[in-house]
Amino acid sequence: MQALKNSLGQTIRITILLCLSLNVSLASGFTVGEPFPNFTLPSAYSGYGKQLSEQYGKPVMLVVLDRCNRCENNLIEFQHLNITHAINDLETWIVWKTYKKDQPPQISLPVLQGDSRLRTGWETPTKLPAIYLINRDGVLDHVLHGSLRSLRKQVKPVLEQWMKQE
Amino acid sequence: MKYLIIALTFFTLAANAQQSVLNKEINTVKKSVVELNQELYQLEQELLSTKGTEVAFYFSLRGGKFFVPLSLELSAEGLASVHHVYTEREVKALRQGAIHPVGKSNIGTGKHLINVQVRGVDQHGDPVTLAFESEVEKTSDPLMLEISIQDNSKAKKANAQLVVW
Repeated sequence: MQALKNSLGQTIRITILLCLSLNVSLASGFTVGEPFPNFTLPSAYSGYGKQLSEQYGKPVMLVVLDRCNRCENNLIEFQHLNITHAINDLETWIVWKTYKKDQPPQISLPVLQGDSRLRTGWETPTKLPAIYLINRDGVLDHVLHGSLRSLRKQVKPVLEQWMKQE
Repeated sequence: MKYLIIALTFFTLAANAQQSVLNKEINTVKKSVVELNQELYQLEQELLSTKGTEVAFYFSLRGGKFFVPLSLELSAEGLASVHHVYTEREVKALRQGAIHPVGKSNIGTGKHLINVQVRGVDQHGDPVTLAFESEVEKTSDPLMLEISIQDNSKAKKANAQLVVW
């Protein structure tokens, strides 16, 4: 009985440790309050790539899309927000991923290819679409999830409040 | 089964009571993993990056009027593929004469066919890929290779070549 108890105890202990460490490691890439991992992504069009570390000193709003085929109409709000906060150096990047014959959105914001084999340091988040607000120090301040429609509504007050602090 | 459930409940409660101890242990484990990872990385570098197999790649742009690089890919048999995505700031620096250290890799001694693909846009903004293969010989000395893009004013286009330092 004692042996079984010890064995079970150890198994539970190890399982808990493994679960906790796995949880920590999975979340560590995008943890609020921690530096956002640096990455380089190529443009979805024939444009320059973008590297997060080059933007240190500027707040960055990263809009990571789920499936999107020429979904620029759903992104106009983000473009407007970017223009509104451009005076405070806000940089807004759209991260798009290829799916079958989908075409990237045609918008004046930089559209980056998230699933390119040329990407460096970028790991596609598990929950999409998502918005990441990364402050001037490269630290992740806010994460928003939901449909693109709900994100458009959610982001405005959060962004306004955040930009005041920035 | 009943005893197993009781035992599991008991030990789960016990585990909760030891949460602070566990937290400390988790932190210690995390720290150890980070340290181990660093040590492994150093060991890997020492094992792989011996001078005899080292190959370093550099990239330069002379002119930049007829070609703007956006990405670079290097590959060869027995060589881990090397790639880079260029940002506006990097291209600006290249235009001003900077030489970009793309990366280091390892390759065995002997002759190798290096495959280079530089994607970019021409003076009209149209996508262009400058691709070529070049044979280089790796000796026991470190090998340094420069992918050089040069404007050809007569042909109004850019040429790419591999230069051995």
